[in-house]
Order: sequence, then structure tokens, then C-alpha cells
Amino acid sequence: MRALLNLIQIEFLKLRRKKFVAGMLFAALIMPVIAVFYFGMLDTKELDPIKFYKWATLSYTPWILLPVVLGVLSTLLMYDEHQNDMLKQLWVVPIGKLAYFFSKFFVMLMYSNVFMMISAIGSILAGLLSGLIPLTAPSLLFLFGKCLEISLLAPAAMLPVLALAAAQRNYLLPVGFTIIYTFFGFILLMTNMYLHPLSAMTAILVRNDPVVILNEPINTGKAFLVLGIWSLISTIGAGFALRRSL
Amino acid sequence: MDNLAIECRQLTKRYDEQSVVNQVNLNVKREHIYGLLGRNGAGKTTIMKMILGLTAPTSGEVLIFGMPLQRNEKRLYPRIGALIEKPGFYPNLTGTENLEIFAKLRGTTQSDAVRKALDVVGLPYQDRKIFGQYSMGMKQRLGIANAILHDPELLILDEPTNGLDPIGIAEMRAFIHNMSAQFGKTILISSHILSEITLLADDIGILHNGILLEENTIAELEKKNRKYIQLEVSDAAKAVLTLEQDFSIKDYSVQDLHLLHVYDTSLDMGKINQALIQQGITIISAQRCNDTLEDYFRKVTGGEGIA
Amino acid sequence: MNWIYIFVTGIIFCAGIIIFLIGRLYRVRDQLSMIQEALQDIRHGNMNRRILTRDDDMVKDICRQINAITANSQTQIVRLNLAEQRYKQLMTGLSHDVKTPLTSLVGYLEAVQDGKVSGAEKEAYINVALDKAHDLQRFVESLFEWVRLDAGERPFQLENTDLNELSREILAGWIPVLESSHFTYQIEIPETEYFLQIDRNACTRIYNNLIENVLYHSQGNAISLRITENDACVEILLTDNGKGVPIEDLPYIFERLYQADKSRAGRGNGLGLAIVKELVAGHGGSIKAENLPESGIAFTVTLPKNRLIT
Repeated sequence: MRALLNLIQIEFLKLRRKKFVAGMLFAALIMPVIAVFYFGMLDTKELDPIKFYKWATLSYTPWILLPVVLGVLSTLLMYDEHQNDMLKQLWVVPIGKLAYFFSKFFVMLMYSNVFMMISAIGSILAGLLSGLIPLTAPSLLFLFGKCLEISLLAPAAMLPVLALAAAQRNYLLPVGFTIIYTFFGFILLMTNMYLHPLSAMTAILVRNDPVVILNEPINTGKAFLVLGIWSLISTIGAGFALRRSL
Repeated sequence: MDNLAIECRQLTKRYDEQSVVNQVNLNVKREHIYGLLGRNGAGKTTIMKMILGLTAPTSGEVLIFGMPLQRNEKRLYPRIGALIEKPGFYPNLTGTENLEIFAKLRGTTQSDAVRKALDVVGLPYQDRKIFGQYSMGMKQRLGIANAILHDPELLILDEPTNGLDPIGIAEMRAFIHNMSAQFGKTILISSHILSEITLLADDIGILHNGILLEENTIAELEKKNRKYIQLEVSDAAKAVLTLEQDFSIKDYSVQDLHLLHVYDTSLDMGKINQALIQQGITIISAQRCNDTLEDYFRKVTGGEGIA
Repeated sequence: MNWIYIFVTGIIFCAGIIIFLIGRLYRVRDQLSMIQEALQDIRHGNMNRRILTRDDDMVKDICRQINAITANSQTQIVRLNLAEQRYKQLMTGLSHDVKTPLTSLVGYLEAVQDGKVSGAEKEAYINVALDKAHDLQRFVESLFEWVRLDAGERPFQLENTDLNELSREILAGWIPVLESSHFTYQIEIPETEYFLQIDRNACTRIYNNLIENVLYHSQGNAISLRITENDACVEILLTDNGKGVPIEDLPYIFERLYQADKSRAGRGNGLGLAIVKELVAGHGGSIKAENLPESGIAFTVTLPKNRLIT
């Protein structure tokens, strides 16, 4: 337990001077800014804050932006150690292969949390400053609750990419895979949402939203099962890949 | 206390039916420097990786301090410092930050271990320069600093002078020598350069095409590297007189009352024999030792030589 | 209803603390068994054993202290082993160094006694024998000198002396020898006076041994000597243009019986530089040797100024 805590702490030390990792956080502000223009042009009166938040933070951000950002992040987390042949130096410390994998996952978890918080605060500020929405307690509660859900589920849904990055020396394949993976997650939502972790995640997120109508009734248990199975497969695969990494 | 730091028994590694390492029995004694000599591709790195558990052997086993590595990782790894192939570090961090990461991962034996390790290899502490901007020599030094950061008993260094300039090579040699002479560390070092091994090692293993051809002490091998004529005579005093007077030989030494070493090997033995016999000296044996270690290695490797 | 919530929160909080403490206890227990194992190894004589700890460990200080103790005894053991090894080398080296001239000496004297030579040849034989006897005598004397120095039994008669004047006197005697050995020389001694606490005999010996070393072992043909001073000390820098010393041998050239030339060819008994080192130390100074970038070696003798050595 303490060994894992130590590893996680060290994972953050490794990110020093990585400007790109910090820079990707700005992607969280893209949707809030666009939302201001979108609703500004519609010229709606008395805009429901929840509707604004859904658009600005809870739609394309978790569906597309966050998965892509997390995919790139997981590639970056693995890339240095692979590229510089550091794994052999780490294994002789020794470091457990799974503890190593989980420490990377934990960084993704923290990162997605920060990302969603930035997005949420960005939306609130954008909405307030442009005068589109009032500040109401229920809408804030809703926004932060959903953001917390997203930031916990998205890294789990992106575990297959992290596993692929763990198995690969170069970065092109995992980054390319991230884009295809995210795209399919989006598409499959409409056809069969219980195949892909990302669509399962979306299903969980919109479970009691009356506005969203999918072609299948949402079964949260089933969605969680799908996420769990994929996570397990990814973890086992990553453990196997790391053991053979030399 | 078991006297061996590393013991390889019938260690074999095959990749697709081709054996890279073949039934190697390698024994590294505690507090000795063991030099593994072989050409590039002889299997040195593979052996070291198997010793460190980075590659699984096809068959055979490795004991470190008398224990197998498997299931003893937590016990054994902290006692080993290793530098395998090119050392890798985080390019976005400085040398100090990189070592601090490893110090945090492993734990240390003393306070300010990072600063002391950097001191030993001559890198500055708290330098702004990140690893990505390091020269080859500095990278190698940082690799060494990481290998000694936890003051391990056993150092495993794979071609540590590779890619260094002549001054760097000399410093690295002095460092390795020091580690053994001053701190009594056990060191396994590999090289494809004969002179490097003979300068440093106490014991030597010659690896050729994955087979350990010979394992011996340097002292034993050096006997094969002497250039002199050994004369065993009935009376050394008389023989010395003849050598000095008739052949004006000054460069010799007397081993005991009957044994002489003459260091000029270009002498005409026939004439010397004749002169000695004329003086009534019996020659019990005369032997010209004119082998160099290079010649010897050419012989054991079947004419191909080592470096 | 409210007090149930408070109660449950309290229970969860306590359980958290208990789990944390148990975790901590397990960690300490693990480490104690690690320490136990290491101590057993150390007790069996493995002074290289260390125990690794992290900065936030409870047992950190104990482990570090054990490490310091083992590291310390390891250095001492290594030093003792090294001294013993060198003593053995000294004895083997010594026996050859004595045997070789002695055997040859016996050879010549026997030839004379057996009447194998006569007249002028007999004279020549006796001269050679005498030379050899002198060589042997010199060797035994320098050995004796070195042993006394090493044991700290040589009394130093330090007097306030002008090093520059003394150096000029000594070097004047060497110039003919250098010339006949085809050495070019460059000597820079300042005109001013450098008064230091110097034992005249020891100083002469230092110069003689250093110059002999250059003459017989450097295989060069040029020598240069320069005396400089700074606030704290005077430096004598002696360089040649010979072959230098392999870098791995440099640390040992001031040790008794060290000879860079491992075939033991040439003259010299390997005691010269060892004696120099002891003599310089007797003046409270130090000597170091460095290879020059091009070729040759530089000896730097540093003697402290204005300090009474007891």
C-alpha cells in the first residue's frame, strides 16, 4: 500500500517541466467558450443553467475531448520510460509490474479530475460573465456531481489505451488508436452501447436524463460490467506486456 | 558465509533454436572483480540480463549470494547496483532530480546519498542542466551514480567504458578499481577489450559464441603472459657469471639457487647452452616463455582473437 | 436520527485510523525482520551489507547507524587486507632484489677463488664483484632507511634554510651527470630567498631520488625544475618528457617496491619514490604525480612555509 503511494508520488515528480501535459488542460476550456457564442447567438431568454452546463461541460468534453486528452496523456506517461530503455532500471529496484501500471492509472485519475474541475469552473465563469445564466445551488450541485462521475469513469474507460501504450515502444500507434477508439465509442453509443467502454461510460452518465433518448433502455449494471471487464482485460494485458517488455 | 556472490549453473539462453548462451557456469567470488571478456555478440549482455532477472533463462539457474532471484527480489535487488547497456533517465529532469526519484524508489543507506553519489562520479549537485542535454560521458556517469546510489555489495557493469573518451575511460577504470580496492565491492564487468580486463579484474571469464571457454584468475593467466627465458641450472652463481661475461646480459633475476629468468628473449639459446656446458654447468631445463595474453586468447578462441 | 450519523462517522473515522496504524505496524515489522536478516549477515562477517530505508521510515535512524558502522569497519578491513597484501609483495620482491646481485657476486668471487682468471681479468672480476657488493649495500641501506622512515624513527633536523640556495647547490652537482646522460635541462629558481624549516640531508635525498627516477626510468631526454611560492607554501615542480605512468598505476608510485615496469627491467630498487614521500611528509609537506597531457610526468612537492614542525 505504502509502496504504491510512494510510486504515485514519484509519478508526479516525473512530470516536472512537461509543458505539454499542463498545456493539454487548456482543452477543458474549449467547450465553455464555444457555448457562450452558441447560446449568445440563439438569444434565448431565461436560459436554464443545467442546460448550459450540459452543453458546455457535459457533452463533447467527456465524449471526445477528455478521452483524447487522456489517451495522449497515457501515451506520454509510458513513452519516456519505454523510449529511454528505463524499464530494466525500474524492474531491478524492484518495482511490481502491476503497481507500476496502477500508479500510471492513478495519475490519469488525478489528471481527469483536474481537467473536469477546470472545465466546470470554466463553464460557470463563462456563463456568469456573459450574463447567460444565474448562479443557482441545484445546478452547481448537478454540475460538480456529474464532473466527479466523469473524472472517475473516463480513466477506467481509457485503460485499454494505457495498456496499449505499456506494450508499445513508439507513440504513433497508441495516439492513433486513441482517436479511433474515441470515435468508435461515440458511434457505438447509437448502435450497441454495451460493447465499448466509452459508450458504456456515456450510458452511465446519461442514465436518468429525460432528454437523451437512446435506442435501448439504459442498464447501469450492465454498463458497469462492460467497463469492469474491459478494465480487467487491459490490466492483465498490460501486466503481460510489461513482463515481456525487455 | 557463502563465498560466491554470483553462481551460474548451466545457464542457457536460446532464441528460436539458436543458442545465444550455452551452458555457462560462471562464478563470481565475493570482493573480487570478475571480468567477462568477449566480442560483441558473444552473449555478455544476455548473461548479465539473466543474472539480473531481466531475461528468463531457457534452462539453468542463477544464484545470487546463494539464493535464487525469483521470490527473493525484495531481498536481493537492493544489494545489487547495475548498469546494463546505455543508461536511461527522464530527459525532462536534471541529474539530481533523476537520482532523487531512484532514491525515493529504493530507499538509501545514508542521508544525502544523492549528493554523495554525484560527488563520486564528478557530476555537479543541484545543476540546472536536464538529462536530455547531457553528453554521452555525463549520461554514463549518471548511470554509474545510480548504480552506486544505494551503496550495493555487488556491481554489475556492462561495458562501462563504451562511448567514453580516453580520459573518461581512464577515470572509469580508476573508479572501478577504487570501488574494489577501497570499499571491497564485488564487481562483475564485461568488456570486449582485453587490456581493460587484465588491468582491472582479479578473475576472468572468456566468452566466445555463447560458451564460457575459460574461467581463471588473472594471476594464473599472467603466467602465460611473461616474456623471459627460464633456465634451470646446477649452479646459478656460475651461470650468472657466464651470462654477464660472455653475453653481457644484465637484465635477469635470480629466483633461487638453481632458477634464473633472463628477460631478453631474443637470445641465441644454442650458444648459451654451449657456453654454460663449457663452464661445467649442467642445464636441467631451459624454457622460452614468449606468449602474450593476446596470443593465448587467439589460441583459446580458435584463432579469431578477442578484441 | 442525527446522532446515528455522528456515531457512524465516528466509527468509520476510528476504523480508518486503526487500519492506518496496522499498516504502519506491518511496515515496521517487515523492516525489523529485514534488519534482523542483515544483522545476521553482518555477524557472519559481511561488512558490505547495507540496509535501505526511506526518509519517512520509523526505523530510519537505526538503519543508517548500522550502515555507518558496517561501512566504517569495511574500510578498516580493506585497509588491513591491503597492507597485508603489500607486505607479502614486499617480501617476495625483496628476496629477488637481494638474491640477484648476491648470486652474481658469488659467481664472480668463486671464479676468482677457483683460479679461472688471472692478471688483469682477475682484477676486473674483483672490481665487478665489489660494484655488486656496493649495489647490494646501497639497496640494504635504502631499505633500512625506508623502514626507519616508515616506522617514524628517523629524526628530522629541521633548520631555517634558504630552499633556493640549497636547491642550487644540489642541482649544480647534477648538471654534469645530466649532460653526460644527454638530458637537456631547464631550471628556474628565483633569486629571492625562501626560508623554510628544512633538513638538509633529507632535502638532498629528495632531489637525488627524484632526479635519478627521471634519469633511469622516464626514457625521456629533458628535465625541468621550477620553484614557486604562494602565501602558504613553496612548490617544487619537476617534469620530464618521458613515457609517463599508466593512470591506474599513478596512485601507487609512491609505495614501496612499486615498479611501473613489471618485467623488473632496468636499475632501481623501487624504494626511491617511497623514501621521497616519507621525507617530504617529514617536512609537513606533500608530493603528487600527474601525467602531462603530451608526454612525461610532473612531480609537485609542496612544502609549507613558516611553520614549526614538531
